[in-house]
Amino acid sequence: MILYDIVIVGGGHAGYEAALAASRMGCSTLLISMESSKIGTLSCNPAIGGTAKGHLVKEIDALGGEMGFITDQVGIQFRILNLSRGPAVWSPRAQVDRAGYPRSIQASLKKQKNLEIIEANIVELIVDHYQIKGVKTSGGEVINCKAAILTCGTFLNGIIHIGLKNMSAGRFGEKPAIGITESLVSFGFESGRLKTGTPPRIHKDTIDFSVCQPQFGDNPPEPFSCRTDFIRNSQIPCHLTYTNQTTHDILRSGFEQSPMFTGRIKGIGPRYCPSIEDKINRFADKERHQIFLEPEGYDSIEYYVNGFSTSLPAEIQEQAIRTVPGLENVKVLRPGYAVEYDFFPPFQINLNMETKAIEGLFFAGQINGTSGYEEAGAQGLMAGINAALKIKNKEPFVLKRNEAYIGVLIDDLVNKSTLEPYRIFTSLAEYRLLLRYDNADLRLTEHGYRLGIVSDTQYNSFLRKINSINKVNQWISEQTVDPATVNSFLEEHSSSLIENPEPLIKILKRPEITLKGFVDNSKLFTDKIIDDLNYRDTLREVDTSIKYDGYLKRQKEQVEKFIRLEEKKIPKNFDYKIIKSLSSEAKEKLSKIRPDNIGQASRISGISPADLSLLLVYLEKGNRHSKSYTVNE
Amino acid sequence: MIFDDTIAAIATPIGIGGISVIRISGNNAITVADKLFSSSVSLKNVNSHTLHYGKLVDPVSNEAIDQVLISVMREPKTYTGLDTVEVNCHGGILNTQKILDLILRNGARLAEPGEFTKIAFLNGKLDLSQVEAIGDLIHAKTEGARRSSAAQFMGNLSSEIKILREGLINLCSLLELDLDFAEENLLDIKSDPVIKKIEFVEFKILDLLSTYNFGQIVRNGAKVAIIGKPNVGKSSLLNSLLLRNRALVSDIPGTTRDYIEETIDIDGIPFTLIDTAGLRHSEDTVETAGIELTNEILENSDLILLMFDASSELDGNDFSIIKRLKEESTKYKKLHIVFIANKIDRPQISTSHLREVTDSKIIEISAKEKIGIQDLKKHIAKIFSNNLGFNSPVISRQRHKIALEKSLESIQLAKETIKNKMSFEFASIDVHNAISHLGEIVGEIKGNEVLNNIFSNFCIGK
Repeated sequence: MILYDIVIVGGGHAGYEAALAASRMGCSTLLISMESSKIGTLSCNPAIGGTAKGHLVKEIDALGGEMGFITDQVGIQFRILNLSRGPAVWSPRAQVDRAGYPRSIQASLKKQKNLEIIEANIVELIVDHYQIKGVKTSGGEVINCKAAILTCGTFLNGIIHIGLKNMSAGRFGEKPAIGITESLVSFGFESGRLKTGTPPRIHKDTIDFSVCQPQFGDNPPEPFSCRTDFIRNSQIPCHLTYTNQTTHDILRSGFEQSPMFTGRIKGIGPRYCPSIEDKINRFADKERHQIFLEPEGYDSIEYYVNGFSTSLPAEIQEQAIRTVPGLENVKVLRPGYAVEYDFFPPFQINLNMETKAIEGLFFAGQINGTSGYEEAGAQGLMAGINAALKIKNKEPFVLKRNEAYIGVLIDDLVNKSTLEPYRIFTSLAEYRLLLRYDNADLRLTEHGYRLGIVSDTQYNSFLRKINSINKVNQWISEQTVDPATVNSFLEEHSSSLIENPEPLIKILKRPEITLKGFVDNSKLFTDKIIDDLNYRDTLREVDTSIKYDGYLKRQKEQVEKFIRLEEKKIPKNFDYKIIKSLSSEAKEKLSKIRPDNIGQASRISGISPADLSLLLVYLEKGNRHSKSYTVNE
Repeated sequence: MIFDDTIAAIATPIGIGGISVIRISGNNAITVADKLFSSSVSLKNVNSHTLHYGKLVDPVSNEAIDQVLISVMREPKTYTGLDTVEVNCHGGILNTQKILDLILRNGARLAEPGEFTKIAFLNGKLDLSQVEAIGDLIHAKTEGARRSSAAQFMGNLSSEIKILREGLINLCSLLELDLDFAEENLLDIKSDPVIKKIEFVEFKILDLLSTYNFGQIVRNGAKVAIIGKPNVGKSSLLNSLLLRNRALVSDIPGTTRDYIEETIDIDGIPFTLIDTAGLRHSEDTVETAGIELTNEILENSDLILLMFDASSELDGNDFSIIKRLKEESTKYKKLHIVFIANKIDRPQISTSHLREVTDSKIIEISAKEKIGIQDLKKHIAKIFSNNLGFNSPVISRQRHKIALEKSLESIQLAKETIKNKMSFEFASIDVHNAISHLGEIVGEIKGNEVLNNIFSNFCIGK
């Protein structure tokens, strides 16, 4: 009998990250896909990253994951978003080659030691005494394992809707996965239904780009991965155009055939990513909506119509899209559609991604109610790591909210569960000033190395960066500048002049002065320190930590408060029913989610401050007794 | 565990009184009381919220201890939310203590200070600010203090704070919107309206903070010093205000030898009157009358009743007092001064001169004949009530004041950040801090330090 350490069902972004992490940690790993050529497919838009999502990709990379590294190889346009805002919300994003991405992922998987890939449909889980034992294929074959990770994406009982037509499918033209939901429900899991959508794909040669506004990538492009030295690919622009009233009128004429508005779709869709019909319905007075035309690759004839996600009938889609400037004669290659699928409300998993009901069974990705490649990849990585730790009898690896967006994501899922597809936002990270995309390695690479997934090369370059930062900080703190050398530079930047020598660090704190500008214009910096400054993003790290020092300090104080509550543990198997006065909602939620500590309890939706105070007093009071007779007033 | 315990304590003040009340609360409260109660009815079978007459008997010795009235209140509609029994027995330290001991020997344990209220809180009967208000309610010295703490108990401070919190949470949503959806160009959030919103909350918090003085005065009383040259009628005024003869009055200057302190209630505000006369000697020289107005008095008073004799010319004593007050007025901004022309029952000589000396309103009275005393009281009450009703939210606790000041500081930092054209994510951290400070007042507690603090300071037997 073959016994795998870890079996992963599904080869999407959660699946491949899980498979790579587990096998890199030395576990014998099997990745099961219904169609192995589709592993790593980008089901929706041909882009990786974006606001807050880019942070996740950087964190995956810092921990030794694959997504950022592959993106660097197949990216066709790179941009740092939100540059007009502060550094905490800067976020990298890349357009990628839709065909190239899965190809590169599959190449990485093939090279990986300890990892096998097979094609099969899994229809059932084999469980013994609440412990996972294996998975069963549609052919009846049992694959034995110590741990299993389900990363089924939108495939669980997937139904695709286009107008009033619908069909069983996980992705366009691909079969759904039937049996796994039913198997899980039979073990007592609670399932739910979500919906997501995708826009039409159009033919590149039928677009009139001359009337659209081009949007170029950054020059030079900044790579996602610490393992990438520089981006080799040339960049292709995206294009911007807008809908108009005619577009909206045509779309409205199709509302009675909308599976959304007619109630055919029962699943709940993402409010942050509405379909075009939803947008014009809810914001009727808005005259136009923005549309991004995204190229799908160097050789691809397809363009992706971002902002035009729809499940209206194909004819209506085509008519409407042709009213958009630049798309008058466009050829639609494939209509947009909505897909409904099963998920398992994530209060059913623990912070290590393992299900509460079945030991050794882990969930990652859309099965937990998330949407997005990045959210899926992050969970897959964490599930892979934790499944490996589990079978090695080691402590789980859980990232806290102050350590990583990954921590925020998983903590939110477990404690708040979700009723709509969950995506990450920077505003969900209350300590985001500390969680910048460019310090992901400083926050996480040490963990990744300790776990055995970060390579020696990546780790050494990380150590070098730390060393550079320390050296530069030390050096700057020792420098004093005098008026003669610095005033002309200050004047150029409309910064007030100095009369006496001042510490360099004081000048660098001025908002109008950047460290880079200073370095470029001053002879103060010797070659030796410039080498360190220019080592990867040392300069930016140093500049940010000096400039925003006051804010960072305040944020760190908030973190200390947060940690104090995280340290107030709640005993395992604590019986909430004995606190009679807890609201019944609180009792139910706390019993369901079983938080480890008061901090975690405080984040459960529906837990009121009064409930928390009760819990605190109760836990503290426990076995205190009054000793002496004193008379109350 | 706490809710399994049945607790008991004497609920009335210790001492000799007609009756004492011992409260028992908890799951076994009725059983415990029934064991000791000898009557035609069993307390176990009586209706909730009923009163029963009988004897209290020691079940071991069969000795009848006292005749009592026992009220039975079943959960959940009780103060603590648990079954509660109140034993009304005859007063007296020994008798009451003996009955309590009996109850404690028969299945109840002694309540910790404030434990009844703690259980009420744990049972969700009260929120944190209500718990504090109960303490004030019980200790309220005057009608105003009672009404103000009753209003807080009814939740009126809580609702004001909740409105402010919601305002800030809304503001935060705006900031976050700008940060997370900047790329989609959905909204263009300008900093001016954001600053306006912050200033609105800032103004409201300042408003609440400004009630602290009044709140303090309602809670603790205002200190009033009666000042004036010898024989101007200070003790007579004290007596008129008190409506009785507290101070010895005579025509001989310096009659008062004691330092006198008395509390009166004017329109619900407690005033502590200090007659400083006793500190004076009859051979005092002109200058000493001013010197007498010591720093100690200036520092410790909220109000000075400055008396002049309207029936004689203003003299060096009067001017030396006025001079000193003028000198010190910048230092003691909080100090209120009321000019009083006394002895208007006699021919008036100096009233018009007095009007030249000050712009303040001059209250004309005759302390001896009790003329104008009501006007004076009204005038005093108005100074402190500051047009605040007892029903409007008033800050009277230092804890609330500190939390409000911290949240004020946080939103001012946020405002500064936005004014400096920094990205909203920086302002956001301070707005979040402000929200959590406001949360501390209504009991959204991060950590239980606040809670411990409250319960350890809350030593009443409710």
